[in-house]
Amino acid sequence: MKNRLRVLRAERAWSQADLADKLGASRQTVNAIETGRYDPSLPLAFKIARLFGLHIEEIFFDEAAEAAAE
Amino acid sequence: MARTASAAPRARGHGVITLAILGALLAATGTPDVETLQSVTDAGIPEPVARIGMYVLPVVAIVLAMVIGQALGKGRSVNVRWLIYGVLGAFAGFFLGLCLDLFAAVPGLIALVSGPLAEPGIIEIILWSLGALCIAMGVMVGLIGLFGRPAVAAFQIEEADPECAEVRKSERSIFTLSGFAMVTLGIACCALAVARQAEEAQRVLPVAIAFVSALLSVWPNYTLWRRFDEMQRRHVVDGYAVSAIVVTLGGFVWAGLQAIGQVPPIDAAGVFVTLIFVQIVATSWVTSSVMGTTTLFGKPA
Repeated sequence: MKNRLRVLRAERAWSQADLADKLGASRQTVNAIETGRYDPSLPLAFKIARLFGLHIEEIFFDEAAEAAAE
Repeated sequence: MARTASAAPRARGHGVITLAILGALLAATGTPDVETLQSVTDAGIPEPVARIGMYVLPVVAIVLAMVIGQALGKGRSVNVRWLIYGVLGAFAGFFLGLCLDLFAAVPGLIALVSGPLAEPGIIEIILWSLGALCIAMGVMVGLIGLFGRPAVAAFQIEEADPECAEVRKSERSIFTLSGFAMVTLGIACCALAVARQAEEAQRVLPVAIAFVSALLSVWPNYTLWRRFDEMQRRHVVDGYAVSAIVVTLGGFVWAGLQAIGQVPPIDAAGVFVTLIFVQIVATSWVTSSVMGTTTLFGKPA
């Protein structure tokens, strides 16, 4: 699953550590989500969405579903 | 001011210098291997020169292995680079073992506590190796926990993203706890090896040390689990899941081969070292796969 987390974080000039602190997660987890190596749980995805004031689907993209729709 | 990873300059570590210092310290614990020393002096090299060389050359080999590895690995993928480091490091390690009998004073110290030890069998050798590995890794991780970023820079062999080299206060306590857990596990493994090699009357103390160490390791492991976030917990669970599959299959195959007399019976210590070894490999594989440093063997379960 792809996401815009790195872009959203960069727009706010936050480091991965800053974002990790705000989410109550580890920096390694933020890094793994950004690089697409780890898909967060629903509670964490909602937390991320709330933090950026966006809907989950505005941050995370299901590439397989999008490809199927096309 | 906060910064993003992409904007940050890359930082060079001091891994080669650190390895040279650690190699020199390791060499200092050893005595020249008798057979190798004999071969070298038979070749016409004066004994004092040979003795000095057997201390110095392995350290030079370790440094060369890393420097050559850096040169050969430049521009290649992470997997290839670490494969090169692994192969060259194995050669350097073999050369070190050929020249020196490391930790020469340790058998004498153990003998003071547990009396003379019998020759180690394969299980004892694995226990000693695992114990030493756990203690070495535990000390390394513990140093990162105690000193933070300077320790990461000291151990870093390649240039790193400064954001990855940064170790926050909350992470330092996790490193310290991990280091403590690994050292206690290492001590437990070594004490178990001593107990198996000691005479029957001398086995109670090393077994007691093994049990106390194992009990002490419960506290950091439990604390770590409580403090882990969802991804870190998943690493642990995935690691144990992979271990369970591997050990179950391995146990089944072993049982079959044992029934037709192709392999010897395996005792509780054999099962223990197998589990620990598989868990260390599986957890490292799962963790590094997710963190992007090992993709050679595919995705974790």
